[in-house]
Amino acid sequence: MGVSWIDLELCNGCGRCELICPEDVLRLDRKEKKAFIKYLRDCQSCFLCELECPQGAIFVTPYRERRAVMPW
Amino acid sequence: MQEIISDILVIGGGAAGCFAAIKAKQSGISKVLLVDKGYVGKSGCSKFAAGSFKCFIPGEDDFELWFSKAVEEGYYINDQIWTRIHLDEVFERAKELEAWGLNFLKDRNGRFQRLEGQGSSKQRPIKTMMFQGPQLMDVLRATARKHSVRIMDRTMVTHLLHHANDRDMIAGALGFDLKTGRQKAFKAKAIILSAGAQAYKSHYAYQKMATGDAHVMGLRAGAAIKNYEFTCHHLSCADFDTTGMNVLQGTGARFMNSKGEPYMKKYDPEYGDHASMNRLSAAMACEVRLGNGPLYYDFGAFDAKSLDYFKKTLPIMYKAFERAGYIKGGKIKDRVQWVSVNMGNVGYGGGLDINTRCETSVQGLYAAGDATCGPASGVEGFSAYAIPFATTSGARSGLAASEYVRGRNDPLLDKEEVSFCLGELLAPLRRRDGVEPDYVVLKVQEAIFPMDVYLLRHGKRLEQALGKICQLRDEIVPRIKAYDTHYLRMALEASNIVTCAEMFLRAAIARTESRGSHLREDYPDIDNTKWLKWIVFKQENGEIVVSTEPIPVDEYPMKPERKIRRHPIASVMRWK
Repeated sequence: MGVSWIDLELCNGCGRCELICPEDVLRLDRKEKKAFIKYLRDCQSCFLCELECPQGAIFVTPYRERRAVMPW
Repeated sequence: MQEIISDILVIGGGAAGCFAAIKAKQSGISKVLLVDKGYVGKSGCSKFAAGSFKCFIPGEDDFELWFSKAVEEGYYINDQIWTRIHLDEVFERAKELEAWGLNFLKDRNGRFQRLEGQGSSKQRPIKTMMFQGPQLMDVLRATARKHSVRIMDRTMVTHLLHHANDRDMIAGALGFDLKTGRQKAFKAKAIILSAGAQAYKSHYAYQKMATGDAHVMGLRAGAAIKNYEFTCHHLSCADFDTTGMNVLQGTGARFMNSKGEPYMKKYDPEYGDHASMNRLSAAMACEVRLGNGPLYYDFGAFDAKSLDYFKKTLPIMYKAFERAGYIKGGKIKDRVQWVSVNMGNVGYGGGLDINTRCETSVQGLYAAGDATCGPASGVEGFSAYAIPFATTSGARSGLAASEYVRGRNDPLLDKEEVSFCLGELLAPLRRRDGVEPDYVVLKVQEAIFPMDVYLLRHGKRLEQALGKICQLRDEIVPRIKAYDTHYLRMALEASNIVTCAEMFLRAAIARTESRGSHLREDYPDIDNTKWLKWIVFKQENGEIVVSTEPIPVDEYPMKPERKIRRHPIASVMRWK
């Protein structure tokens, strides 16, 4: 959950997602020139990577991998 | 270790930090450095601001109404001088934002389109200016760059450093690059802390980076912390984290309990569904306690126009709703389960104590925005207030720091302090074995997130929670392990979360009365005979020390009656 997948066919390795992710979840494999999800547990489902990806290669769900404790 | 010299170092690149840096450059300071653990323009709570900007407009609004409402919602905890300054200056900041390229919503005649959202009633209308949320920080990054502010992204600052010859004066900071792990020593004549507040990584949208870094750094450097018992109780969709309450309240959503009854008028006759966050959250907890949970947000009154407004002002949340299937074919689901969330002091609540020049109690150290104790707002945020206050306090801190650094020599760091702090910074990486940062965050949440602890408070339960936090502090925090530099960030954040949870509980225990969001079942009265006081923390010899400071209400324009009265929620619930 959280950021669910990166379409590797579409990803052009621009590194935008790695640059902007507020929680440092995404990284770029510099050899393969493809982005990958490295720290999924810390994804806050903020959709920034999906909205900013110039290729439309990233898909985010609103359901986070790690749910916070609820009040009741 | 890399050494970086600047005149003014701004830590935290949200709205407050950007305003501070831009104002410093406009004042003619040559070396202004803005550092952020994310990417300035895409990081911090400001990036996810929900499009609401509560701004007093001279000539259009009634100043006395706005001022009295701010103090009333602040439950007289405000620094009223600050409240006045904020209202006086906020429209100037809005005009600057517009000149820099931020699009506020306007009607056909070019007048600001304003929403009557949270905290607005027929008798006392308080209107909010609206903007396209995510655009704000893009505009501020571009403006900072245009002003030649040096920006250093992906750098987490962890420690403040003092002058080698004067332990009461700030001289620099220590941090590391999140990707490479390279350590950095910053030398600066003045430092502005604008790295936001503490959200305990709660179930509220997009605040996971707000981990009290500025509060803890400031506290450890000797600065005073204030108002930590007052927490921001926000509301979110139960299934996933959301934001945007002001917009939803302003466009006609209603609160319902599991029996399908609207319940807010009972808890707040004047404002009803437009009530402030602490009243809404307390009402929710009371409904749950009465056996009327789970609770819902009813979108039955939403039409195409409301949805269009939702999409325009909260595009990210709108996307989340679409993806969850709550918005389909141009229609929104009738009812969605809703919960209260303790989001620490993001938006309003405790933080660094500042005067009207944004000076903390340490020489050369300034604070702005959410990193401060929210002096203009007091207990409650006057809703949609965080971004406006980030702009006024950000600008003020930048101007005051600029005045301070003029003519000062480059500072001298204390080598021993640098090496001690570096050891602390790197300790989680050097441990062979240990506890994951996530475990610590979860344990803190389990201690302070139940409604019986943070919403409906009681001395006994607060003491129990404090016991758990102190155990974490003593036994688990020294064992947090980081596998790499990403986890090093998470480890340091987890440690800060524990420190802030301790301050929250200690302050909540110390205030033996009820006031706004601080609602105690064992002390259900608002006690203006004994408690027109601020609770202040300082760190002395490694220990957190609590004290109180009388609020100089007699010198302020609005003076409360020195009487004891029942907290409105306690009256509804008939607590004895």
